[in-house]
Amino acid sequence: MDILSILNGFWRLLLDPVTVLYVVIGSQAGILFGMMPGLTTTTALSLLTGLTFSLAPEKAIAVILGAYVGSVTGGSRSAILINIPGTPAQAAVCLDGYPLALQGKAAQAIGLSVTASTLGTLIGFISLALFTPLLGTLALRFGTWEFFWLAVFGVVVAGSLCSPMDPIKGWIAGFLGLLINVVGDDGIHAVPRFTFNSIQLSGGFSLIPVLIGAYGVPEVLNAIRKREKMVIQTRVDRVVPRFREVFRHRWIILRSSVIGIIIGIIPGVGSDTAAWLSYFTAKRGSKHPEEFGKGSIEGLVAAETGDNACIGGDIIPTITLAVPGSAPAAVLLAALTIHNLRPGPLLVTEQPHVVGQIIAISMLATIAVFLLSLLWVRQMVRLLLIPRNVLMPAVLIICVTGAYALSGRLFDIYVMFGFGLVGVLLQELEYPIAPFVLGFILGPMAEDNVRRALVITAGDPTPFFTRPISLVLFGLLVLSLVGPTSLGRGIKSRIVGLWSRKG
Amino acid sequence: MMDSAQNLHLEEGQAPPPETPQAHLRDFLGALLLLLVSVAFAIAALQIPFQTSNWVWYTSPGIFALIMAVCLGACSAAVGYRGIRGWLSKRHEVSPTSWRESFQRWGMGRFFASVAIILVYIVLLGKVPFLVVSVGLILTLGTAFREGRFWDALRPSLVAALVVVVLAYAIRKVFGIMLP
Repeated sequence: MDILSILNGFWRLLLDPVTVLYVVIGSQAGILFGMMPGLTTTTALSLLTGLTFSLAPEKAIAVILGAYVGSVTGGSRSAILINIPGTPAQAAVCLDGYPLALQGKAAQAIGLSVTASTLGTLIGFISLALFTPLLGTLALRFGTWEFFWLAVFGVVVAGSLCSPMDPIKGWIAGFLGLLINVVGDDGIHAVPRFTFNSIQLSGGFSLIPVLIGAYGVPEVLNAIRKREKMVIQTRVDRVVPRFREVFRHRWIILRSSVIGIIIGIIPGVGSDTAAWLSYFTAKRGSKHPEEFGKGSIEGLVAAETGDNACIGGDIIPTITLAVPGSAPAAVLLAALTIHNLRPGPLLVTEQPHVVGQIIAISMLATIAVFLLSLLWVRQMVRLLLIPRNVLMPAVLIICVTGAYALSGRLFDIYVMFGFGLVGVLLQELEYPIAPFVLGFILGPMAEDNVRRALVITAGDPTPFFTRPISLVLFGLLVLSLVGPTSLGRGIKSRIVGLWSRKG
Repeated sequence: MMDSAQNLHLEEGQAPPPETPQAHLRDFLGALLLLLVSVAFAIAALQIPFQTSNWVWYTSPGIFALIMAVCLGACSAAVGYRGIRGWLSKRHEVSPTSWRESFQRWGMGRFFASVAIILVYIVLLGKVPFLVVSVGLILTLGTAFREGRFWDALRPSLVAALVVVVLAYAIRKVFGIMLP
């Protein structure tokens, strides 16, 4: 894949105004979803994957990518105006966005956050264009052994990083996802597993109902359960930021973008981690760290840039390795698969125009989101006034429609609600949902590859530990398992001690 | 760094290990539930023969599930052990009324009521026309869990119901999706 493929993708996109319209529709839908507290990017993408199932692949992907960019950007609106992050990624934006709104600078905060988001997203997508071919070429060296380790590594790392204070809970969530995935007919011998002779269960649990259930339903139930009184700052003046103001924060934007991209590439770790890491890095490097949390523009710009740059980083492993960089990227992976565009090394090498089109759509979506975010500010603010107990039932009905849309089975609605209750339970027990979802998605990859690898070697597991890339992945897996434990911390402090003594 | 640590806890699943006795007990009960799930899966996986004329142990359809069940069980047992140890050492700190208060504070009543209403909705799907039952759900949830007066809650609920009807129609027409 080269620059020509991307330009070709752009050209094809611009020649098709209907697809451009779908990008705009998706972007607007994403902004709306993102700004509504409780509705996450993953929920938005899961719903739209179901709803756009009948569309042509490029149009469906246009809506989904538009919504992806839109929802991550849109989440800052409610974070700034009502101090409730639209998506978890915007929790860091609340810290400085809301104090700025209280100081009467809501418009400035919105304008700057949208601009920082746009720049972060664009830098992220440029990295996507640059690194996808490189990683795609490297991924061609991956065999069935490496793909097994990659799947397991993705789940374990997501578990460790989504639950850093208690990683074992993250791993449990991941193992649960891997385990739930085995329900249904076995992929190699077609033997029914854990189906209780149910025909509905023989196909296993469909991904979209599980995703909508795990992310959407808990938000609906939680919104009804909680009694929240919101104080909304509705006074919004000039939102278009001044160039000078943006230019002043160029280094923060660049640094946060790099952080976002790196975090994005790590499997399962999403925008929220990128936003927090960017925020704290900006605070550490700031001349005025005391302003952070009290309405610091630097903090706002850093968090917004970091979480948006993460999108590009998330998509890189999703396309090249079929290992999603985050939960929303996992839905994107599912959407691509549903539309017969099988992500992985072969997609990059054999269908480079598809990758070019994805990058082109993403870039166009970024521009659309930027314009839409600055155009409808006042009107959108009014939407935040809708009572949650009215909004959420409507969202639930859209969830039901989304879960049903894919295969037209009432069973999928039951699955959605069942996994919704599982999601509530996991949330209340403080188990992160992202590793669960990632485990569910990467389950077939892990299982099929381990069995295939053992068939190739007639049951000999040594290539798992002797092939170079396999060994590296295994080492990383061990590190991510041991690292957060007391043993890992002990080893780390010893190494640090030895180094400092040497110094 | 204290504020950074506090802020990190806002994120999904990033709470520190529990300190309160209730949290320890909750951890234990949750782990117990997960342990039961893993045992159920392990038993079911063991029902699948490891060796037949079609496969050997390493290609058995049950082997991956068994390994995952063991991993889940082992981790759950570790969390459960930590939870029960913490609960036993701190249980004297729990006052008898605090459970009821914490349930109320959490919104248990509203939660179960909303789950019951949604269950009725799901049961009615396929039996009653989708739009009728959906409008019913919006009106029921919108007015049952209102903050102010009934009539004040009814108006936005009616608007939301109308929006959903229009949206459902659009979804059907634009995307060609059949509704339940």
